[in-house]
Amino acid sequence: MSFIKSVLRKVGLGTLTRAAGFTLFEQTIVIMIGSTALLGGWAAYRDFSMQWRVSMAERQMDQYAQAAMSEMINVLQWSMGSQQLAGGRNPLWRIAIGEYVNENGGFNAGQDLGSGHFPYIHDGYFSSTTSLYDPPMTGGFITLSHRSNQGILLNGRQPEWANSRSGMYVWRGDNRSGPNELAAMDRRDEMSVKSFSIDFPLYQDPATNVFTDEISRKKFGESVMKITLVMQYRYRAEDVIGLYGDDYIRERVYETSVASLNFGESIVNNRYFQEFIQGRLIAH
Amino acid sequence: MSKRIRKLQRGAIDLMGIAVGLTIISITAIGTSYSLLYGRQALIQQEHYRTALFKLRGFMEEEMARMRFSDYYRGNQSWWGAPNDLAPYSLDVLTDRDGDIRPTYATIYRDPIEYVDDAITRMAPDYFRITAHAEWTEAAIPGITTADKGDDAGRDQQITLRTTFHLPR
Repeated sequence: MSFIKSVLRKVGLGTLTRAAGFTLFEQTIVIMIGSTALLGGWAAYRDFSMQWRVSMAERQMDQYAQAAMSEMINVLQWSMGSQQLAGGRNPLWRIAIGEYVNENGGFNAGQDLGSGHFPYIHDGYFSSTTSLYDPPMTGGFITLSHRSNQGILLNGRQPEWANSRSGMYVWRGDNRSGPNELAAMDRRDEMSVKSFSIDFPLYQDPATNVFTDEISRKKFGESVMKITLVMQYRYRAEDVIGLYGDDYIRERVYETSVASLNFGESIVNNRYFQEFIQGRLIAH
Repeated sequence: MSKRIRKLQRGAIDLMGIAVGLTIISITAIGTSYSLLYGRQALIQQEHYRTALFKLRGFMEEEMARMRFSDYYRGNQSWWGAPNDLAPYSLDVLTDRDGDIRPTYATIYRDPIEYVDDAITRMAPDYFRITAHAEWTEAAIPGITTADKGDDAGRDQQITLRTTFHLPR
């Protein structure tokens, strides 16, 4: 102990007693235990809050996918066929919607949202042109595309059922300040549609080689549309000491095929079929 | 009672209080953690169900379109009169959670397409009927690769869908 005493005296702490040395040692241990507990508590809190956010967002993503897939099935089953206008990472499709088939008693006047059950405005293509062979038909095309931070777009706009302004789905949260400070989603959370694609799976079918004429091949090949929706949820939290690391990514792929009930000769005088599959003359 | 004993008793009560408090906090923390994890596992199973359901109904529509729009399949009773299936279909995305998943595969198949003919209607056939199934086994600990092999024996799941259709003229 005389060594400690001499050291204390040399650094100018000669008045300290042995008890003071013990107190310093004890204090160090207490601080270590305390900081470990605080750090652990903080990490646990961050983990809990992150798990909470991730599970909330995953559920939201699941709900969006369910709503989007159901809506796509409805729209494509209603249609008479579809065409790709642009390919690549951001494909654009147009879907032919006809009212010739008199669903809902012919009240599907698609130009007016209020009067029909089909909730999207079409371009009136079939209404404004007439066939030389057949009685006129009403209807037109709607377009289908997607944007990663807005989801599926119909006619270039977010449909009502997926509108983030109504608070239904949050693609990206706000800053963590102001009234939204305690919101479940903030700027670290991001939900996106990574890709949305449509193709004609029956063109890969061996039966397509059997057809000798192009019209029959197209009629068979384009009778089914396969849609694939890739959803992603990403949580960027660079300041986390926790289970998930700093960049947590969750992805889901949903895929289904839809055979248009109004395709081909399923309905009488199908204008889409006549003009775009059979290539018959249409007067504009 | 001496002062010394009273002092010891007070210390013991403090220790007991701390122990009980820590136990309550631990149980709450463990409970919260497990309920969050359980909720996420339940969601994974729900997502599997939806993925399988969408794929199954798509498979049925493709089979229906084969019958409706091609003489090749319609005239081939050895095709529609026999079961047909898809290749095993993964219900998970392999890039999900940095690939830290054990993929769950579903078997999707249909029974022979039934030719339903009612003699009274004078139509032949009246309609066709497709019955299709999706089957898969949920891992006991879904989505976790590190589980022991014995833990993998989870629940068997099955979806059966049935639909009917006419041939276009």
